[in-house]
Amino acid sequence: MEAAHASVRRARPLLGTFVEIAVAGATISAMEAAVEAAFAAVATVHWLMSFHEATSDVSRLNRDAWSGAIMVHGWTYQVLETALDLNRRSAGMFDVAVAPALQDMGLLPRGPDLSSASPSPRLPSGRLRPSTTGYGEGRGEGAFPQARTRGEPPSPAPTLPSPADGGGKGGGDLSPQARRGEGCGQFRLPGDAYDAIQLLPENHVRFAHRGVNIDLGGIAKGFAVDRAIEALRHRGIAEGLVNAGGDLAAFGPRRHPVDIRDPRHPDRPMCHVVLSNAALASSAGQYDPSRSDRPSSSAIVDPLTGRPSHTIRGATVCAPCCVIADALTKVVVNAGEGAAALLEHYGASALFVSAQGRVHVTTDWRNEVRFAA
Amino acid sequence: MTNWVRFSLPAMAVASIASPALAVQYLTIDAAQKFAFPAANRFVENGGMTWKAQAGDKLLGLFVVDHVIGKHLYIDYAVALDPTGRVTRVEILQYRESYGGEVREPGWLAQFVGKTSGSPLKVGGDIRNISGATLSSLHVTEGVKRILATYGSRAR
Repeated sequence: MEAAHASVRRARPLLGTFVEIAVAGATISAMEAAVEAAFAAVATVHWLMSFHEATSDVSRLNRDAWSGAIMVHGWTYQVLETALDLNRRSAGMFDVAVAPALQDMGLLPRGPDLSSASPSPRLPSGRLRPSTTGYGEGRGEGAFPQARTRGEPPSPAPTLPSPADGGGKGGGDLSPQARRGEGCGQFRLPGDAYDAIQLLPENHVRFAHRGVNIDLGGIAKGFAVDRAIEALRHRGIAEGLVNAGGDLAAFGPRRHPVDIRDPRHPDRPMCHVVLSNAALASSAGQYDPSRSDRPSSSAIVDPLTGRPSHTIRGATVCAPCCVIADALTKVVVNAGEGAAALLEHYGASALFVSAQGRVHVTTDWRNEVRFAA
Repeated sequence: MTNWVRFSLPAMAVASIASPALAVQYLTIDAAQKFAFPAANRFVENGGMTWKAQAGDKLLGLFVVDHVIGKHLYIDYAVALDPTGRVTRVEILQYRESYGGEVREPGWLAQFVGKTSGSPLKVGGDIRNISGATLSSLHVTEGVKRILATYGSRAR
């Protein structure tokens, strides 16, 4: 019989970063098979949601979904549902669907004269996650450029906008997910991604107009981690950890120490948390005026404090699942303390670092976070 | 209702000494060869850190080991090619992570009060998990393309 305490740990380059999967508590052969299945799940997410793979769901949608409904993989659909839900609940601070002109205009553009189906101008630059290694310049973020985060304050639009066009073979029905509920807390309904992306029955997706361009880089990595964890559990593995370049999740009895980089000095750890049956993700939200296409309107006003979010250098979120942790880091970078209600809604804890070196930690997490100095 | 507490971080003006502080060995070359070509019974050295994977006289593919060096990273990785020159597997063999000089200072380590079992921050040993700005794997991706360009036709 094989040793019970053995462990298996592997790493592969996927999702534009290094994905590490570690498992323990089963036979070597069972663990090898489970790790293989987990990598396969991550690779599937990679091929479905990569911005750069011409055959990915994301590329197909960006190319064709404005002209008719496109059927996507159930996982892509699921990610879009989550993204739209987050968009709505965050008043647009999390947004996967901002075409360049849409972004410039702030809200819904009217005409289809947004000629380019090209990637948004600020991408792929890894603006929110500058590389700690010098790898991140140019197209360095590989398959997964960063999520679009809104460059302007939440829309003041007080009313629920109607879908821009009836859209699609599926009859233009928005999914129950996209229709359901109101924004939570102090957030208002924004109505841009909500309109721009129409989730139709049977995994069909349609974009409202030609200018819509999605990038799932700010959410797919977390989703991939969740799918890998699911694959491990499904194969009866008792404990494991999946780390996709700093977006990670763990399950099982073991407590995993995690260092969080100082976003101001990414080669140094800033603090330390212990992860147990939860997910953790970080974004270094370095505001770089030279890369912004809207330098004069850079201030994303925190609805509570009135402080512009470009003072936030980095954020880390702990949540029950990694897709939420990943996406919420972008909201925290944009909203700072204003993200409190949203964090609470998703059962998440967070910390962020201001340019002045102040660290803001949610009270539920304050005793978990150990600072390095 | 979720509330926030605020701390001040020190400026940490001390110059960082960027040196590899932590390393993980994921797979040895031997182990990676066997995973890449489970049916192979021998790996014939082919020069330049490449091996022909064979089952008897039958060529199963090519196994190539390479490394990339970045500003703070040093990564050994392996690429398996099938006889048609297609990449079948990319595995990281060894990964080094620069962590700055502080990690090696006992005083710095002592800051982590209340640390759990499992000897966190064991330098050179079990690497810890790090969350923060995402590390790009671009150099490995480029390396795989180089290997494909160099060996893709030779695998046949």
